Amino acid sequence: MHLSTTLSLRRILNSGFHPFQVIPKPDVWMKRERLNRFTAWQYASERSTVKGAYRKEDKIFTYLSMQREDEKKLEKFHAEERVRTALAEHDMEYSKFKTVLSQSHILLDNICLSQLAIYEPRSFRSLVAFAKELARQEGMNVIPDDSEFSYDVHVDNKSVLRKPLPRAVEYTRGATENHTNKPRKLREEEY
Amino acid sequence: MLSRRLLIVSQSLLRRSSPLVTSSVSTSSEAQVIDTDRIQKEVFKSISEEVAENQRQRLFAVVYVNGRQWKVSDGDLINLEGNLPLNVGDEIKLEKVLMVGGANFSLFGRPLLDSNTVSVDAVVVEKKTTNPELKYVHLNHHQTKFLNWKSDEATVLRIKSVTAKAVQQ
Repeated sequence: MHLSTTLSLRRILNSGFHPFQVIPKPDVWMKRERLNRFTAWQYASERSTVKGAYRKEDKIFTYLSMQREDEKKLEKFHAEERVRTALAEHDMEYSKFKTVLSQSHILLDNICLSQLAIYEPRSFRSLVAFAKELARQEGMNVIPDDSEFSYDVHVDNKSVLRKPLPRAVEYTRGATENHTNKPRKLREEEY
Repeated sequence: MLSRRLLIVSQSLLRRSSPLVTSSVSTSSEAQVIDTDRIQKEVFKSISEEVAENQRQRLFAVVYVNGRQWKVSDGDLINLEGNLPLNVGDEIKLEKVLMVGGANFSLFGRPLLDSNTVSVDAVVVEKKTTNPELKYVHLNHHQTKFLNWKSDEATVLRIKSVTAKAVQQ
């Protein structure tokens, strides 16, 4: 029996709520806490109002996500920049330096090279001196070190330089071929 | 500073008996033939002495572990990605050593140094999950948001020691 409609009973009798006012929604406390976790340190309406806080949270999440995606690329990019800067300090060009290293099979990556340049400057300098000497012997234009401070380098390009080792294959995501064009129909003899 | 030398180790280079052509970097003078073998031996000897000394000496090495190069020294912690087949407390030796350096020398492998010469010992300290990171997609005008907290596994190594024996002469 559905008595509520006929008796005009909108609410349970003797309930804790007022019979003719809107029933409060489930508590928002938990949601607000979750929101404030990220927006409690913001300013003005981004902290004091709910709408503003949600807008700000959206933005924060977007940037966090972007940062996570870019982190690996950024690490490589910054390492290369640091190596370039360090080489500029020693009057050496990045491309020549990398060429000599790859031809002499020294497989240090940019991240390690940048750390060497920062934390082990003397090792880095000796490596640059080595690369400079070889580059000079290969006929590249390099600016020589100041004779007062230069290291003795005893190398010979013919015995040291070789064909660079093959680079690791990077399998990128996605299809290898462009499948937008249909393959041609097989001829009869090809079946 | 001036006596500091760089040495590139290579089997072919070591076995080569003919004198190598050399010249100084600072001047563009003619290349002159010098006794490279003697200089090599000298350098090897000085490095060996350097390494063998019982005085306080600290070496660093560049090792290749888990698809990545690390510059490590004694007592460093390195954070390897993924749940590697190692248990906490396992002691391992990192064998792919790309270079070793100390206060007065640096040895570069082409591409690797002999694993008998240089030893980098490490202990597995911790296996853990990384800090949660966010994958967030907001499709505008669709009232749709995807919020995923991503967390990965990691293995933490502590480098116990970087030591080098007397290098080959």
